[in-house]
Amino acid sequence: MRGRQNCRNNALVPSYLHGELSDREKARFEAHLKECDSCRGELDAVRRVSERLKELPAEELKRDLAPAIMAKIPQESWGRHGFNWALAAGLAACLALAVLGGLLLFHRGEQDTQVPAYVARESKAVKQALVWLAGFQEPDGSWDAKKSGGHKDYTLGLTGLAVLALLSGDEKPLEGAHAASISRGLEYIVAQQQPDGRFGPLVAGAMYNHGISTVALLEAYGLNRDETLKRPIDRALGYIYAQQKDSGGWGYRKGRSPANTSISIWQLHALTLACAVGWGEAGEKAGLGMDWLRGVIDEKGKVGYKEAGDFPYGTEALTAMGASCLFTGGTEAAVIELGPGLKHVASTQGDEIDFYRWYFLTYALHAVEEIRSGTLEARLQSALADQQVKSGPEAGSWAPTDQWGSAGGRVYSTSLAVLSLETARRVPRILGWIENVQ
Amino acid sequence: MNEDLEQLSDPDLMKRAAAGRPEAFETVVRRHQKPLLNFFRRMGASYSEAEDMVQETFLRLFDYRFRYRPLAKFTTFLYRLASHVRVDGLRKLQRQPRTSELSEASGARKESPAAGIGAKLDIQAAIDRLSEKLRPVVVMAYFQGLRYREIAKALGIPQGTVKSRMFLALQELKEALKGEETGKNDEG
Repeated sequence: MRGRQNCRNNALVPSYLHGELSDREKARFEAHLKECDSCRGELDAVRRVSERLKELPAEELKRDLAPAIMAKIPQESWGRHGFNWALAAGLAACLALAVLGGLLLFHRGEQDTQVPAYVARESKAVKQALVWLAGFQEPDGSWDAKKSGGHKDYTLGLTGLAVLALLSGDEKPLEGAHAASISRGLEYIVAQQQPDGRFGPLVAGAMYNHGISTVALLEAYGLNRDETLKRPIDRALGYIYAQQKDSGGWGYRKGRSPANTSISIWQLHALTLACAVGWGEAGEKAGLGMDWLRGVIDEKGKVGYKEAGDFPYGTEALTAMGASCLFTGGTEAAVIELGPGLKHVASTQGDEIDFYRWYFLTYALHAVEEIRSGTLEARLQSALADQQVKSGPEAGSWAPTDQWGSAGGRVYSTSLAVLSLETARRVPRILGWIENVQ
Repeated sequence: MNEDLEQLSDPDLMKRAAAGRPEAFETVVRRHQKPLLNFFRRMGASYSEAEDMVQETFLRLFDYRFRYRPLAKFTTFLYRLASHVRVDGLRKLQRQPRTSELSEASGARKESPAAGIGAKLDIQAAIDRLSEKLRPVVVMAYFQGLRYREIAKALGIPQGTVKSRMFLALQELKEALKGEETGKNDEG
């Protein structure tokens, strides 16, 4: 039995007393308590302090403050139309495109052109990319990871990404040129669902595959409310709930590895979307996940990987990922916390290729108009257009040249490039769904 | 409309307030004014300062009515605003954010409902002596009933920091009360 000298587990006493330990931590601590005089003494002492604190009575109001508060709100404020996130993001996007178009025209001396050169170039780039993607689809509806230069385990996640890219490339994608391709992709995803709700086999990156696939299904459902997707989505969400850790985040495997931002954000995007398109119960789980995510933000607004200050793969992509998530499904407070971090990401963005970072950065910038940076977006999109393969069998695609290229291959790079170019269409659409449930 | 607003959740009331219904916002105010006033009082404000801060918090909440999203728990959002109001208020008053000075300047504790009840005043005095970083954690957990993750969100700090601050705060309170008991024994 341990003596009365301070034990390092004394620090767990408040969390234990306040019911803030997970079941496993609690059981472990209770076993420890039996052995440790120091912790038992600490528990008694903290309990006494707690009892004293609870003795303090709540103070009664001397007057009802509601009349004074209501009187201070100008009458005309009640008639004001609400801030419309979707509309604001859409308008900001249009404005940015107009400004960018203007800038590019000015530099190219093409002021007499009716259609802004930038907009025309973007839509052509996307059109070519979608043709390449559709042409790369397998007869079974999948996009084969290995054939595109990626890792075989990620076929399902890449299928999800390709479907998302096809969904983002058109105002009415389910009636457009690639509707059949989207439909076959969705059917492939649904066919991969396991009895426990997970999409695909239990490989190391299963949670990536699952999260991305769920997002793809939910976005399709948001567009057409196809009843046949409801059941697979129900089960997919069930798997995400089941895999959520006590901390609120998600990792490679529940119980085996700690939560990390990269995996968590895909599950959070899925839950936010689910909440917006009719699965209200997902809100609570999303809230827990958002809390976890906010917990890994450091004081400079940078998002860590497993905890605040943990940056094994650099800070920028993680911060952009966190921002994309919190700006869409979080609160105003998230904007306050992450603002400096995202500004840093935007200000340090060079022309080097990082599809993942670009995708999340453009997503985040579109989700909150306050810190939008039109110039940055122009640079990103201009660089993307320059890197697109112009001829040959890979015409329309992007080579998987960034650090994740070996895992995702050409389908990964091309899908994310399209999604980055189409954020002005896609993000307002998602924000519109969110707005409608509020 | 015959809807019973009292039965509605905070997010539902905020939605109605955003749609232009004053009575919904008034219901939110009535529901939360007392705990909010107690929050500011526990944080060291005089009664009149606390009343002003409650008003300011609700006026800011009104400004944010379009932006509150139900994915975040309402009370967490409210106390996030309240924390900002308090810090801004202290800055405006150009006071050091130490309650002892606030109390001296405004006679805050002279008005305390616990005045005259020695033991209760002692624990409040011990709370007052906690630093600005430690005090909100204790007040939010013990008096506002917030969970650690909610406190983390309200204060904009990681949950792990809430845990460590809670531990340190309780250590300080423990020592303060130990000193008080020793003092009493000495007097006795």
